[in-house]
Amino acid sequence: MDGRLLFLETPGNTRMSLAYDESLYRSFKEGDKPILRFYRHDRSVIIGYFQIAEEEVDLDYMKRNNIMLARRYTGGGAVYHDLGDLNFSVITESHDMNITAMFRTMNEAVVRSLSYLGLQARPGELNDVSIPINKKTDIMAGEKKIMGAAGAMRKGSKLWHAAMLVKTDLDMLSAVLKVPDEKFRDKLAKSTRERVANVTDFVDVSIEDVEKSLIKGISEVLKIDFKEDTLRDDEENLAKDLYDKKYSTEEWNMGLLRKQVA
Amino acid sequence: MHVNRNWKAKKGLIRVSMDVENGVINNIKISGDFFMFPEESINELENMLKGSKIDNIKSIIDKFYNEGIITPGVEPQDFVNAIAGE
Repeated sequence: MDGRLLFLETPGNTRMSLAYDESLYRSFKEGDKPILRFYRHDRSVIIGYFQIAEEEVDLDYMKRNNIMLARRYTGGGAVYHDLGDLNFSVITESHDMNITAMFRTMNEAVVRSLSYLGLQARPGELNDVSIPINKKTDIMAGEKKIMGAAGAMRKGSKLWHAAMLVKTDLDMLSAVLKVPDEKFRDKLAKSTRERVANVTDFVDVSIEDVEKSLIKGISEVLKIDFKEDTLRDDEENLAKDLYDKKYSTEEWNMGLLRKQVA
Repeated sequence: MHVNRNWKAKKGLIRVSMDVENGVINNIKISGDFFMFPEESINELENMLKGSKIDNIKSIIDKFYNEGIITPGVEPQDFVNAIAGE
């Protein structure tokens, strides 16, 4: 099957970038070609759909360090992105409402992609991928998360999007996210800084190398031949509408607006 | 009485902020890093809980889930614990 490969990014405007993601998902119609999109964001914190900004992040710290706040359409937790983090979205036709199966398939695709870079990754229980750490040689035993994902589904289409830490500033990441102690109750790592790692902590690769391996791995697992394409007019128009009515507003980004708009 | 409670489910932290008077929830806001499909159902859940007795939480949550709500890694009992306490 043929698919569309989109290099569609607005690095200086994370909110617009997220409007594009929702637009691609909502514009998707039965019979459309599946989409694989790659994009990056300059220093930003993106909170999940169910989160409230002031509970999750240090807003003063963000202001002082010029970090943009944005909120995405999907659930899950707050993430920190900079240009060393690679984001990618997959939008496919859906015949069921099984998001767990999509997480599983995409974890498999990512693990396969990373193997082409010489990394033996491990899929998490639901929506993340980690690198196991040798307990004998590393005092912070256990595993380090390098990718997290979230998803949305409706009748007709599914969206899965993920963020991979390639060479992100992890000190900045752990400084800005206020992760409550409860999150570490059942984990070996006791802080965000201990819990995460960059791909480049393990292998010497560029963002482009990671991108290429992901295109290969995702194409193989989904059996889709992704060919570079551009945005359709209806996708562009809906994205602009979503940006104006939702993603550009403080009410949305702070986590206070929950009803559907646009 | 204002109550703030965090409950860690297997996948996701559920945060509850609510006002409770005489065992009745007057106001409630649920947030966190869980997944819920369809996403907008969270509004309906809050509306179902407003004006309800804390003692009836389990039946309200069950009724909510009976509408086909999906929350990977989070069980109905997690929401009961988050709201009513363990």
